[in-house]
Order: sequence, then structure tokens, then C-alpha cells
Amino acid sequence: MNNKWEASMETLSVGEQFAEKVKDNARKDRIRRMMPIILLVVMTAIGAITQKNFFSARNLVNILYQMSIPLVISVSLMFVLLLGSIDLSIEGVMGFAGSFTAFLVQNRTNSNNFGIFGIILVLVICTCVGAITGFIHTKGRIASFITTYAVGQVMTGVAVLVYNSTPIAVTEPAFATISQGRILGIPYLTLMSFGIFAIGAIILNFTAFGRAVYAIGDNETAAASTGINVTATKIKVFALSALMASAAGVLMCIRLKLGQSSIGLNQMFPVVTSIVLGGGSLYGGKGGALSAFVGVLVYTELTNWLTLMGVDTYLRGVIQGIIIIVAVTLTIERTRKTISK
Amino acid sequence: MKKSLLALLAAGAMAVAAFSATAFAEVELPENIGEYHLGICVLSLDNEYWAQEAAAAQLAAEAYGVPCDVLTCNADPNVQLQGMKDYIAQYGDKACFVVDPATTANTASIAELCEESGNYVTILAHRAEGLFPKDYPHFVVSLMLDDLANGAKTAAALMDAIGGEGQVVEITGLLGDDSATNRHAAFEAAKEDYPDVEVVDSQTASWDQAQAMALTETWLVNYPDLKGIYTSGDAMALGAIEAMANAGVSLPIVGCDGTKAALEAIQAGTMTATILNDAYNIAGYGAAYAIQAACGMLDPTTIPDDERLIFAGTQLVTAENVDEIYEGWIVNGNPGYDYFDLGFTVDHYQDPSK
Repeated sequence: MNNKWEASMETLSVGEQFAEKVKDNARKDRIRRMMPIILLVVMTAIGAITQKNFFSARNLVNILYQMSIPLVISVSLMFVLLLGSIDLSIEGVMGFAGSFTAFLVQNRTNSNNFGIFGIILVLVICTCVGAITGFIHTKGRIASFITTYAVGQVMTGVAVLVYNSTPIAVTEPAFATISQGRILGIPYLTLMSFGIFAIGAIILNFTAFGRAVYAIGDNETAAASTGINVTATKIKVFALSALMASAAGVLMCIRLKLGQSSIGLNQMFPVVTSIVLGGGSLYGGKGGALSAFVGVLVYTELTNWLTLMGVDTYLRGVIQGIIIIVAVTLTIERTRKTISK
Repeated sequence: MKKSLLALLAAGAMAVAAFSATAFAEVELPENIGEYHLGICVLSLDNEYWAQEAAAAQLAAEAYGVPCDVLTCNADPNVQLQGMKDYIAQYGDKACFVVDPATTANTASIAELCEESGNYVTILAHRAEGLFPKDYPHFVVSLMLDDLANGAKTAAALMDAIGGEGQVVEITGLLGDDSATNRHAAFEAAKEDYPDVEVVDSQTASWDQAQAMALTETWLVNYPDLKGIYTSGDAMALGAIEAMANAGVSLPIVGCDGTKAALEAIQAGTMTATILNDAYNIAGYGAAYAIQAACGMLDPTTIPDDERLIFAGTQLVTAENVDEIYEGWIVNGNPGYDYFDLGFTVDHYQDPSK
């Protein structure tokens, strides 16, 4: 096969060979870009064939419910990963946002009852924290994973101070309404997260800011030379990331009705994995809203399906890990950079 | 006649009160007790239980008039050992410890460190296999929680709540964790006594509330005839309760730990039972043992070997006793234990062959 191709190449001029190669790359690229969608179809088909309850209305609603918080987190990571950076403070910010929300709304531990104003305060504080993170990262020239890791530690610590080690149980009636309410069978919480995700996708795809993020991720020096303010864009991305993380924390607090720092625990890496499953890159410039959405959906379907299958709990991690490796092998773009981190 | 009887009773009660007051005062504390320092080592303070352990040790230390410091290690065994070494460097042989070890394996290093430096230590909740206080004069006692017995109690409470028949699911703790393993084993054992109960699935939620919630949501779809849920931890039980609330069902469910939120759920009637792992008991008396040994009030080598392997007292919490426990443990933050009565903590003894 290969020899035949080489043989046919010999008969072509250099220019034609180049054109062939470009065409060939474009074809490979198209297939690779289709892979996440194919993966989603395959995962859904496997679910539907092996489990009769997979496609039941209630289970589909469950999947929508279970993907809602990862979807909000994916907006954070969508922007940050496009820059080629990482935000390890997401879990800490989520934990703080959830804990502080429980502290401010009607609860069993204190007499606070700030309702929606409490939530707004939480979102504003976290956005400022994100901006500070971005400022330290860009102005201090400290790698994003160090800066965000440290900020995450600070936020986890502050979260614990907020509730003084005893998690606060929320009694705010609106929280029960939101987590139990549905429109056409779809939970409010899901609708809210889809709304947030849609806004994130619009900002990414239809604003100058979104295009700047893509440009910086693709080639920072080139972006700077075209007049994009790299520092300001990065600070905005980290502020947005923290805002989204805090929104995820608030939604988690609504879902669990308990505020504690562990709300954010183990929430970030599954979403990073999801985005890569969806075709995003850890090196920046590649990915976006579609890859985030498809990735989160596939990942949620996978965990849901493993529960429906009743896989032995000791084997579950093994199976899930293997499936993820196989899936990522199919969807990831092989960069020319050496993988060393 | 009646009046004189009442008077007699009152006089009797007063006499008892007076006697116990003197009994309390008669505990002779060494004059230099204020020079001793107790380090309470816990993994971190962001966990309700570990924070309670720290508070309990401080209460006990206060009762003895001993200054107390909380040493945290973020669940890192090396940081824990280093923290203890620093404390010893500061206070020398006047330092003593009550330790909730970062890992089970760390218990051996802790016992050896304290033996080498000559500081007394009580180790809580974990003990490496083959590690015995009798081999270490400074390892005062091992205070454990009997997860097997506690798991059996909550399992029985669940089985009885569903009338001894029907489908149940189990949510286990972190895979490989010894408490999770024992509580799971207890559930497996309890199943034997209830042949009409069918366990349709068992999955881990790694002690995590959100994971337990997602599991339960999926199960409620897959098993419409589900009758009850067994969980090995309160956080996971609370997640399952939220999932049930959203689905509009309320099945019997049990947990373990005795967290504030779980006690509130029992008060609200959404949770059947839990075990109060009583940090005020295990850590408070653990502190008392270490202090008494350090200042010479107690010579650990005079305690029979097997009696240095203790299971500390715990309680099954149900709707019947939850209000009383909530008041003492959560509202007051002090159940009123007499930390001079060391025998109080002994529920039963551990298997001396393990």
C-alpha cells in the first residue's frame, strides 16, 4: 500500500506532491474532527443496546442532570485550555463558593438570609479572585499551574474557615424548588447550566475577546504583534474561569444543600479529560464549545452506563480508565511537540 | 410520712452530690502539670470529625490544666511525623500526644518515634497489624472504633426498617480504606441474617456526597422496587437523600459517623439511623490517657496487655435518641464526659491476636 503510494508520488512533480500531501492532511484532519461525534454516537448506541433503561425518559433526564455541573466547569476550562494554560484553582473556588453560599443563605447554622444577594456576592468575590490570579500569573510571570494551585489552596482554606469545620446545611426553600423543579421534565438546574454554557459558547465564538483567546492559544507572539492585549485577555480569562467555577459551586450547593470545601473535590480533572475526549488540546488553540459539550456528554454517559451495568465496584475504575485511554487515542490530535509533561 | 421520705431522698441526693464533688476534687494532679504539653495530631481541620477530635482533646487537656496544640498534616504521613518531632524538640519529655494517624502504616512509625524520644502517645482509630502497645512502653493505649460492630448495627437498623425483605443497594466508602472495608464486610455479614433481602448493586462513592447522589439517581431509575439504601458514611447518605428528594421518594437509609447534617436529617425524618463515632469519647479519653501517662499518674506497663487494645464507645443514633445527642454533641459541643474516669471509654477490647 505504502509502496504503491510512494510509486505514484514518483510520477508527480514536487508541486503536485505538496498538493497531495496537503489534501491528505486535510482528509485526516476531517476524520479526526469527526471522531468525537462518532464516539458520542457509539457510546450512546452501546448504552441503548446493552441497557434497556438507558434511553428511558428518566435516565435521559438523569444524564442531563448529572452533566449540568461539569458543563459549567467546562466553560472555565474551555477558555483556559485554549490559552494553553490550566486553572487548578477551580476546585478550591468551587468549594469556597459552595461553602460561602451556604453560609449566606437561609441555613441551620446561623441566622443569615441574604438569598439571591448572597449568591451575587459570592460570584463577585470569586470573579475578583480570578482576576487577581490572572494578574499574578501574567504580571508575575508565574506558570498558571503554580499560581492557580496556590490560589486553590487559599480558597479551600478560606472555605473551611467560613464554616468552621462543620458543613452548613441549607434550608433556603428556593434551593429545594430549583433542584426539584422541572420544565417539560427537564430540571431547572440543567436548564440553568445549559444557559450558562450557551453564553460561554457565544462569548468564545462571536466576540473579539473569544477570537483573541484562540489567537493567543495558537501563537502568542503572533497574536501580540497583531495588537491583541495578551495580558488583559489572559486576566479576563482567569476572571471568567473563576466566575464559572463559582457558579458551579453555587449550583453544587443547590444540588447538595450542604456547603463544604469538598464540594469542588475531584471535579476538575474529569472535565479536563472530557474536553480532550471531545477533541480539545492541552497545548492551546484547539478545541472550543463543541468539543467541551460533546466531551462532557460522552463522559457523563460513560459513568451513567457503568452504574446501570452494575459493574463490580473494584473493576469500575479499571474499565473506566481503559475506555478513556482508548477514546482519547482516537480523538486526540498528535502534536509535533514532544509529550513530556 | 411522705414528706419525710422526700426529705430523706433530697438529703441522700445532696450527700451523693457532695461526695462526687469531693471525689472529683480528690484526683490529685501533680503540681507541675502545667509544664506538660499535649499535641493533638489530626489530618486536617477541614473535616468535621477531625475538627471534633481536636476540640475533644482540647476539652480533656483543659480539664487537666495542660496546654494543648493542634498539629495538622494535610493527610501526609511524613508531615505528621515531622510535626511531632518539632513538638518534641520544643517541649522535650514534657510533650505527649494523641494521634489520629495519617495512614494505618504510619502508626508503626509514630510508636517508634515516641519510644525513641520517650514521649507518651495514644493512637486513635487505626493500628497496623502486629503493632501492640505491650511492645512499646510509651504507646499508652490503642483506641479504635469497631467498624464491624457499628456496620452490623446500622445494617440491622436498615433491614428492620424495610421489614426484612426487598431490594437494597449499598454505597461504600473509598476502596482500600480500612473503615470502608470493615463497614462493607459488616453489611455482607448482616445480609446473612436476612435471606429475603436482595442486594441489587454495591458501588463506591469514595465518601463523596455528589458521587453518591449521582449513583442514587441512576439506581432509582434502574430499580423501581428499591426498598432501602445502606451507606458507609453520612456524607454519602446525605447525597442519596437529596437524590431521593428530587425523585419524590423517601426510602429508609443509614449512614455512619454522626455528622451534624446527618443528625439533622434524622431529626427531619429523612434518614433512618447512623452511628455516632463520638470524637469526644475516643479523642478526649485518648488525650486523658496520654496526659496521665506523661505526668506519672498512670504507668501504662501496669495495665494488662490486652486492656491496652480498646474499642472506644459509640452510639447508634435513631429518631428516639437524636434530639438528646444533637443537644450535647452539636449544640453544646461538650457531652459532659468526666475525663478522669479512664474506664468510661472502654466499650470492649480488640482481638489481641491481630
